[in-house]
Parts: sequence; structure tokens; C-alpha cells
Amino acid sequence: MRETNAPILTVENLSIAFGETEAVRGLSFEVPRGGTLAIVGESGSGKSVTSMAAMGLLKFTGGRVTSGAIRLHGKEGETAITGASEAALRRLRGNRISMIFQEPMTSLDPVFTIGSQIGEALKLHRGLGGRAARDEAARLLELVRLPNARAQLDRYPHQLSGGMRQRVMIAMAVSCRPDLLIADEPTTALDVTIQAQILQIIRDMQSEFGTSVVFISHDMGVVSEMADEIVVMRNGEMVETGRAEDVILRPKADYTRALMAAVPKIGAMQGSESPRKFDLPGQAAAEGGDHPAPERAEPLVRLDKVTTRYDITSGFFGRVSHRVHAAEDVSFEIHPGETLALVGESGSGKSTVGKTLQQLVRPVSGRILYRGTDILSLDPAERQRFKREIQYIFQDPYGSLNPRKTVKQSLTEPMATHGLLRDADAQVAELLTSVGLKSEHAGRYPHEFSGGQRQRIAIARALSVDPGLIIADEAVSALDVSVQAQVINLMMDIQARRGLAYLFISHDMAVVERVSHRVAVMYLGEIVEMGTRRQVFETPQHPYTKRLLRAVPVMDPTRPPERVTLTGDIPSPIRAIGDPRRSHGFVEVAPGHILADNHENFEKYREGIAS
Amino acid sequence: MPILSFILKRVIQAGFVLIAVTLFVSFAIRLTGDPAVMMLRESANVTPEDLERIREGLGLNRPFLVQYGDFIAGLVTGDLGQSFFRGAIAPLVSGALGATLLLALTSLAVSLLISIPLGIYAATHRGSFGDQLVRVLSLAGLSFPNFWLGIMLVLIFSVTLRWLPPSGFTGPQSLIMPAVTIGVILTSTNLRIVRTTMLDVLSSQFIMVARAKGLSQTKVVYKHALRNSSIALVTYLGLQFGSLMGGLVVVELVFNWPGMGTLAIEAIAQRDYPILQTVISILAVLIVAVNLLVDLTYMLLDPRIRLE
Repeated sequence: MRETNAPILTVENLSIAFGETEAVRGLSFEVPRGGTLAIVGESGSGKSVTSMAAMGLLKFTGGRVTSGAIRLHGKEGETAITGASEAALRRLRGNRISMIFQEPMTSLDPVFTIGSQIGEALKLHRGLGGRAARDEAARLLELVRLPNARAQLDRYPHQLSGGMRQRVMIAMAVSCRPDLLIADEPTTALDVTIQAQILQIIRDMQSEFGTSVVFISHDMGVVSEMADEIVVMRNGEMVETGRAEDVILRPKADYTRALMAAVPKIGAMQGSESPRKFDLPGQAAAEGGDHPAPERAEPLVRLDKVTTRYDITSGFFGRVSHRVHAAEDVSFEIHPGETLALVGESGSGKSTVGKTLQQLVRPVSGRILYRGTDILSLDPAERQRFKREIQYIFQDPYGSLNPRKTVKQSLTEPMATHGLLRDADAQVAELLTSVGLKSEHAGRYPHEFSGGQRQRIAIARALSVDPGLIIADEAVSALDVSVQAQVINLMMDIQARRGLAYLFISHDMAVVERVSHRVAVMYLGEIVEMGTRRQVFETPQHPYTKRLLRAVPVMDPTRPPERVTLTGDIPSPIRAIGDPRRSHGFVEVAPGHILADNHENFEKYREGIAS
Repeated sequence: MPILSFILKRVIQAGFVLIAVTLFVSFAIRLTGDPAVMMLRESANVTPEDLERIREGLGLNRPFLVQYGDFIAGLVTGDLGQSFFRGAIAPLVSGALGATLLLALTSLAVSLLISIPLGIYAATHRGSFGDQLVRVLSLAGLSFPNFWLGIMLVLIFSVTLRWLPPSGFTGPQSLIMPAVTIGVILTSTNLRIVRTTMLDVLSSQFIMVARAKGLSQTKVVYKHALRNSSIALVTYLGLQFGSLMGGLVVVELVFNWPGMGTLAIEAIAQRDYPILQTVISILAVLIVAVNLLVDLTYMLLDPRIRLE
């Protein structure tokens, strides 16, 4: 009777409010049966709130639907979600509509086993208990290709990695063959190679169960790989909707066009020697010509076989039994005015290298030369002076500024520490203007600023002591894409003006391609490939670099998604004391392009570590 | 294996704590005055020889460490020795300990029976009239000094209404007023702890996931949220036990309850070192043991500790 191509979910004129504040206004869309609708937007756009409304979970977040309707047209006929009783919604949730959340690390209850948590849904909606539930749970975990599925049932969430937990979440979500699966930023917290695997599993589940999907994301690359249709949201309203291909390739609304311009696209820099700013509407296009090339004469910083390890103690006497091999024999140079990008996934040791360079942790061996001086051999007082030369910008602009200090206090503190304070007001005003803020912002507190503005303040603080090198540790990762583009442009302007060098630590290959002169790829504490940006991105040699680049979602809706092989997790850099060293040498494949000599037998090397 | 080494570590730590506490108590008591002088204060014509004879009789002229060693040996073997003025210590202390534990456990049970359901109600109905009422009552309960509350209860229920015995221990009905007095204070703080930890856990993502599975409010709250907040609650109860013991002393005095507090106060008045030493040491053992128990309970409640 029902039309088979009727939408699975219809949202009509939906408005949502939190107290007096409207979060969503007059939103209407339809989710195609068996297809995927992506809702994209930046923070505060109302995309997650909409998904909570579709689950009937809005009241638990403090929000309420003020007008409009959401209807599900599932296997069991039409059901109104807005206005339904809690009892009716409970029969729907986890059964006809289910959801995967953003943070796999906190999505599972830490005190119950995986098996019992999957079993709950099976018992509730399918009446399975005991052995039957256990068998079914094991089968579901096999479907999401969790290794040793049956053995995982008795494990607790903390014993699983983020990628594995997200697979458990997916298994739980599809356990009752839902009509609709809502995935709210399901891969945002995951590494890019793990993200590719999770996206693959979601697609597989979709074809296995014929489930329709609402996919919520801020990442246009991911959306482009997953979506049939797209809804673009901004400030609670729909800006544009249409087929994925049309929205991505031929955006109509100004906002969508600006959003697309701000998205770093991997491969966009092919053939270009120097980094390039983003062309943002309303901003002067790349200031006259190319971004300046670094001075090649004498390196500003040179790391020579730097090794940093953390001890892990265990047993009754707290003896050191294992070590985290966070950075092993890391060597590279950064020249004045140069951006060296350090890329890698979690546990690759990229942040440890930054912290070692900033003297926040002491390496177990190796040398750090700053303009030819070995910093580590200096006495503490002199070493303190060198701290001024290297400044740090952290990932989280909310956590890295003291909430009880005004901007002026935050900016003058490092200057006072290093004896550079002369005319505080004038110096602060100059710093603020140089990062695109106003001098009257000096008396305000961090909570009065947005994330992007706070990151600008953090940059101003780093600049306040006039350093030679700034370590930007995932400095733009937490920002919305349009803000991210602005902050990157700012960092590049400052580099062009001051001849500053950056160590740009990031997991985001597309951003790295945009900003860097040279790139070093790290894997389990070691550099596996290093070269100019073009060498690494256009002629990658190491299998790991290739896999990393392949895993990056490409914003090209005409290209069918590539099947990824499920290689599982990144092995751990923790090794027992007395474990044989598994270090490798390097070969130079082209001038300046060096490669770990394990590239031919990398898979064996990898499995050797993982086992 | 890591579990055994965890337990062993805690037991050894507890041992050191007990040695430090007993050593300090034994030493400090001796600084407060000479019992021989106290005993003969009322008598006339006291000669130094008289004092010496009494010290000899009480064993006070031996070196401090010998006295301390004797005392510890007694504690370990259960032979608690003689008090200065009241005969054998063992029966005195065991009676008092029983009375104190009875009072402590009853008031703890009363407070948990009230604070857990009320705290959960307040957390799940945040901002409602009931929640406000719970918060006001809990603040009011915290604001009473416990001895004042005890005196008020005595005035109302013993003096005016004559329903309950005003003091001492004459039967189960004697337990009611002291237990309510301490229970009110405990309930007020526990209520806040339950409410806060429940609110904290209820805002976790895994609670939203549990709701998204379609679980009922009862399952979400009593299975997932309560189990998780019990970890924080147990920690707090362990810490609370120490101050509960301290608070008991005052309430025991008000109701003339024959517990450890009353015994300790009497011993202080008489400079009866052996009793005081024993009472304080046993309370210390009790507190250390309870905290050890808390550590072990963690392992039951939290797989992240058990399977680390």
C-alpha cells in the first residue's frame, strides 16, 4: 500500500527552544528511504539538537519542540514522534530509530560489560535473553568486524580503544534492525584511518539492513563520502538543501559557498611550491603573490636523534616494567620562516616532540640545537632564557587561557617573566591588533570571546615575547571550519611579516597540505617519511604515508567511496623493558626526501609491534 | 596479581598509620600530667616517696618505649591489661565499642535509607519544588549543631511528652533519639552528595545512550546512574566515618550513651592513660579498617580499578 519511495522520516516546520532561546526555527526536510541525508553546519547550527528531537530525547537535554512535527514512516506504519508519549517513544528508541554518538570514549557505561550493554537492547526490543542474547550480541560484533567478537562480550569499555568502542556502539544501534540510524559526528573523535574504517562499517550496515541514515557532521569530506542528500544549517535555520552533488559542487547560498571555500581540500595544492592562504569571501585574496619561502642558510632549530620515553611502573615495589616509546631518534631541522608539519595519528608521538622541544619534558637522549647552541647542555638559568625563543599554542582555546585573568594580564605575564615589559598598554594594544582583535579587548575575560577569538589571544600571547619558533599543537583542530581558515590565514600573515618558524603539529592532512613547507610523518614515535610538502603529498613513498593520505575523505561526491581494508587499531607505543629495539634507518630517495628503510616490509614491522 | 599487590600495599600502609597514631597518642597523653599527682591531689602530707610508690605500682617509671611496647603487645594479643582506677580494660572497652557501633551503624543506616531515595528524587527532578525542598531541608539539617538538636529532642520527647528515656541505655527505645540526632546531620550531607553525584552521572553521555536504547527511566536511574554514582558515594562515606566517630563523642555525652566517647572523656578527666590509649587506638583501627574496606569496595564497583 505504502509507496516504497516515500521518505522514511519527515520533519515539518520544526522549531526547538531551550528556555527562551530558539535553537531551531522552521526546519523542514525529508530523509530518503534507504538513503543517507547529511546535516552539516558549524557549532550552534542546531544540527545535533535536531537529531535529539528525532529520537524524542530532546526533553532530557532541557529543550522542547515549540512547533512543527517529526514523523517516522517505518515498517510498522506512520508514527508521530513529536507529541508521542514517553512510553511510545521508548518502544521506538533503539528499536525503530537508533543513534550513534560522537564520543565513543564516554558512550558506553564503564561499569557494565560490552555483552550486557548490547544485551539490554536485545532483551528490551526483541525479547532475547540468556544464551540467545549472547549469541546474537556476538554475531553483531562479528558484523562490525570486531576481532575475537565472542571474547569481547565479557570485556569492559575501558579495555577497548576508541575505534573498537565505536564499533560496539554501531553493533548496539543496528541490533534491532532500525528503520533509521542517526549518526551524530560518529568519527570526529577518531583518527583518520580509523574513521575510514568506521564509515565503511556504517555503509556496510546500511546495505545489510536497508537502514536509512541521518548523518550529522561538520566535515565536508566525510559528508561527501556518505551523503545522498544534504541539508546545510546555520544558526538554527536551513540555508540550503539538495542532492549531495549539487550542494557540494554547485552551492547556491552564499553561506554554503563561503563554507566550501573554507574547507581545506586535500590535493588542492598540487603543483604549488609554497603554502597558500584560504580565499575567504570578504578577505583580500592572498596578499600579492606567493607566501615567502624560508631562509635556507642556517637552521633555526635542529633536533638530533631525540628520544623521549615515559616510564610505566607496576607491581608491588612500583618498578619500571614498561616504557612508552613516545619519540625515538627523532631528527629534523626547521629554518627561519619555515613551517614544518608533524603529522600522525594518536600515539604517534607528535605532541611529545613538541613538548620536548619546548623543554616541558626532558628527553632521555639526543640534542636540541637552537641557532647552533645545544639547549639541553645549558645551565638552568640560560635554558630559561631559551624558553622565550620557542612558544606554544595549544589545541583547546577554552582550557589554555586562565579564566580569571584579563586578556591584558594573560599577555603581559610572559613579557614580565622574560623582562620585556616596557609600556604594557601600548604593547598589549599592538599585539591585539596584530592578531586582528581590538585594543579595547584588553580588559575583558576569556569567557567573553568565541573559540576563534580565544585562539587569536593565544597566538598573541605566544607572540608577546617575540619568539623565533611557535609550536602549534593541533592549534586549529577544535575550531569550526570557517574560523579555522581565518586563524590559518592569520598565522600565515604573521609568518610572512615576522619570518617566524612554525612546528605545525596536526592530524589533519588537508590543513597540513595547505600550510606547510615541509612535512614529517610520524608513526609510533618514529619519523617514517620526511620531505617537502610536494614530495610527501604528490609522491608519497612510505606505505603508512600512503595509507594516511588514502584515508582522508575527499570532497568529491562524483567519486564512489573506495573500499577500505579494515586494518584495525594503531599498535601501542608501550614496550616492555628489555624488548628488542625495533628502530630503523633512513634512505634518501630524492634530495631532501627521506624515508624509513622499513618501507618495504612495513606490514611485517607493524604486525611485529602489534603482536 | 595486581589486585593482590594493591591490597597488600593498602594493608601495609594501614599498618604504618596505626603505628604512627598509637605512638603519638601514647606519647602525647604523658605530656598532659602525672596521674600519681592527680591521685594524691586531695590527700595531705604527700611525700615524694608516696608518688614514687604509685608510679612504680602503675608501671610509669619504666622507659616510654617499654611501656609503649607492652601496650602494643596487649592490643595485639587482646590482653588489654588493667586501668588505673576501673579494673580490667577489656570488658569496659568491649561494652563501649558495642554501644558506639550500634549507634553509628543505626544512624548511618537511617541516613542512607533517607538520603539515597531523596537524593535521587532531587537529582531526577532538578529545579522542581521537591528538589528545592530537599535542598532547603538539607541546609537546615546542616545548620543545627548536633548537641543542640539532641537537647531539643530530650526536652520534647522525654521531658514534655515522656515518650522516650532521656539518657543511658535501657532498651531499644533508648537508641531512637541519639540515632536520630546523628542521623539528621549525616542525612543532610549525604543527601547533597547523592544529589550532586547523581546529577553529574546523569549528564554523562552513556546515560543518554541508555535512554536512546529505549530503557525506562527506572532502569536508567537505578541501574546505570546509581551504580556509577555509588563509586563516589562510597568514597565519601569512608571519609565521613572519621568525622562520624568524632561527632559521636559529643552526642554520647548529651545522651549519656555508654559508648567509646563517654569512656574516653571519663578517662581524660581521671588521667587514666591505659583506657584512653586503648580507646583512641581502637577508634583509629576502626577508621583505618573502614577506609581499607572502601578501597576494596572500589574494586567490586569499578572494573577500571579491578582490571587495571
